[in-house]
Amino acid sequence: MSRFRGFGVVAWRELLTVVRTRSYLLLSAGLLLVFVGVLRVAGGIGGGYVPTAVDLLLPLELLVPLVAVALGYRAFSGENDDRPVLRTYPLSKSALVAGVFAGRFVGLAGIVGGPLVAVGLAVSQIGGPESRVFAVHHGVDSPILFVRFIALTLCFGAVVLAMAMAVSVLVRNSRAALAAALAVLVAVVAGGDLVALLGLSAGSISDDLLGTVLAVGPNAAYRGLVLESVVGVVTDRSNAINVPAAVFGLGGWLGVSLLIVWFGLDRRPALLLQNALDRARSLGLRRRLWARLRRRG
Amino acid sequence: MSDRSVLRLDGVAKSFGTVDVLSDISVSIPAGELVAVIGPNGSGKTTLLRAIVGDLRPTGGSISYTGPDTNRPIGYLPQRPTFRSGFTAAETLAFYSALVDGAAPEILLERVGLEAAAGRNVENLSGGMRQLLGIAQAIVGDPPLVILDEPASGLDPNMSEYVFETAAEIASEDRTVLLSSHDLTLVEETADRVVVLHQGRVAASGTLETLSSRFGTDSLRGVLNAIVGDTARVSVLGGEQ
Amino acid sequence: MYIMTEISRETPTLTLSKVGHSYGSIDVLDDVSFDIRSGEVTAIIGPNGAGKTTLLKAIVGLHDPARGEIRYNGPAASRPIGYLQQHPAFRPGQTVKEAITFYGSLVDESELDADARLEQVGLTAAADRAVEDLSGGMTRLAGIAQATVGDPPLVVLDEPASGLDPGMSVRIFEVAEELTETGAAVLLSSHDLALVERTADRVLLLDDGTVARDGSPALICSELGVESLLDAFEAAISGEAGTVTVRGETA
Repeated sequence: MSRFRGFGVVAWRELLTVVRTRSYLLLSAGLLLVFVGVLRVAGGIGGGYVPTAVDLLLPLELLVPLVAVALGYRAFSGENDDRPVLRTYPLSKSALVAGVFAGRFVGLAGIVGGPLVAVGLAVSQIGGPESRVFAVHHGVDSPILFVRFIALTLCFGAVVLAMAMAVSVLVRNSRAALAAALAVLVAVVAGGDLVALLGLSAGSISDDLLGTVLAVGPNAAYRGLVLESVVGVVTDRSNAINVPAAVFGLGGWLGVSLLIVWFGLDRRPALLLQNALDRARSLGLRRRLWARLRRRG
Repeated sequence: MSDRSVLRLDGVAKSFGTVDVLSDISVSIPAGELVAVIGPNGSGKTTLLRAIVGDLRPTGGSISYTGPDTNRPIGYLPQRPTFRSGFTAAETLAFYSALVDGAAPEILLERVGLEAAAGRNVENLSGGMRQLLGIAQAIVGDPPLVILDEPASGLDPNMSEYVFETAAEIASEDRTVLLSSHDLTLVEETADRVVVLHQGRVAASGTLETLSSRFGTDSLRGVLNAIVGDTARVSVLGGEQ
Repeated sequence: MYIMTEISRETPTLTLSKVGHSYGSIDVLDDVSFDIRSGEVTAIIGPNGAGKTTLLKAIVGLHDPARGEIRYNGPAASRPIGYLQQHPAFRPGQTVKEAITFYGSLVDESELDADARLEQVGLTAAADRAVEDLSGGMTRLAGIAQATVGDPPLVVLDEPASGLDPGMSVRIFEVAEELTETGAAVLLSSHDLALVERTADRVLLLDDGTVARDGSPALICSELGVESLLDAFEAAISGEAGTVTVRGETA
């Protein structure tokens, strides 16, 4: 059997699992409600695609990691974990990891992308006259920009999904699985910005380096890329971020996370740590016993 | 009986932290037989089977598969199989089958007598049906060695007997079944060969006749009693203080 | 309505009347009525899929039966019903003793009680082992210890001997018997018919979601004119040996 085939079979099962989990569908409906609420308050929808994207940017920075964590944190545990059995099939670990990631990513794309497409369609109906024109030149609103926005959002989702999967593999079989997944969420949402902010105020990051430093955090990189390639096209106000650094940063997080999944899958890092501690403790105990014996002797 | 072996274990050891769960297991599993691993709770049966499947890495010794070269050399039913909710029995098998170009789910379900439940979701299967589905999964792709960890656990007497009959059918000219069980009567009725584990070591192994004559008893229970003695208390390896 | 004026030994610990339950369109339990009396080991036997686990879960209160009534009439206790689930599980990261002590602390029991409970099921040597490192059978033994915490007047054990070696199985049935000597009622399900025959005061044969037979092992055997409970099981159940009856489908 070709490697590709195993990947496809695993990805398909993963996607079906997502589709058949009702709470994920609810999540998607919830997203749509939030989008509608945000846009009603902010009013961007009447202004066209780019104002809509600007209004949705901040909520998405929080909601996409949330969806990614929900999809990723149990990918290899509980009843989703049949690796003892899969081991007896000609399925490489790479195909398994890639398949699980791909299937869940397609699920995420549906959960997040569906409501966004719905919003895009709504803009085409109620947005300003410019919104009905496909324009590619600078300074004009266009559905193409919104598609670009969706694509960037999904790329961001892919990165955070991989991170959530990596953490879930590292801490599985321990009580901390969900807590750790949520820690990823917080780190992604606030961590990068916080580090940049701290660096800035401490004076260790100069202003011209800020764009690069910000690009390292997934959230800031996503925000920067949206501002650069969606909003910036219309407003001619760009250079918010170092684009190559942002792309490299997102790619790096994705790659490293998937590597962690790949390496962590057959080992139980949490358990290894615990065993090491146990051994250290029993050694310590023995040493103390020896010391006591020697004192007596 | 043939002299070909399908699996060879040589001095296999496994420890968890400071606890030695298996020590110096050397055994050869002949092809085409039904081999049963028996022993008291905590004697290392599941650990041994998991090490053979590759789900655990032994800390010593070697395990080598010596059977024919195929896509899926070893099939495996874990002690507690997991299935994804929301999938039917047939869909579940279709997934595994697609990984090895195996038989159609209907054919697999028929082999374990579960064809009537093909369209039922796995979370609505009774314990026995889940076990049968697990056995069907273990024989996907016709592996030469099928490992079943307590296939009859939690099954009613009729179903247990049925599962052992199915296992005996699977074990044939070129297919070997290695299973663990606590049901000594059924093991006696179906197994060609028995491996008795006690405290992580092979306490005895051989055909029923050799074991009976060696321990001077006519039943497997007698053999186990002779080896283990009082089992009303779990003896824990590394647990003695 | 008839009012009981005194709680006597005759007052059943638990009364089930016309209990029925369905999963979707599949009837799993249908019109099940019986009493559980203190000081007795009552064993539920029956083929896989007969509804044993569903019934026990309803008794413990894990789900409300769709129809009928289940009433606990036993003495007031901080823990009226103890329960061993079919697949016992403990939160990882604690030792066996810690796990049992935790449940004990919910009913004001001490660590010494935990020791005694582990001793009763023969797990003393594994007391300091992490629960996730227990073998399947040992996890079940720890689950049985958990089910007896707080000395509940009714102890419900779902397949306590499944996955246990023959020696341990015998021991567990002895533990069940010991519990009834202190006045508790024990309700257990099992596939080990030889042990049920030896231990149970009363057997309920569940088939197809209904109580097909109810009585002492000897009574059931004589009713069916057979020698052993195993023969009774085979004679009484509707399905043929070796075929899996799938409820709600035309098999």
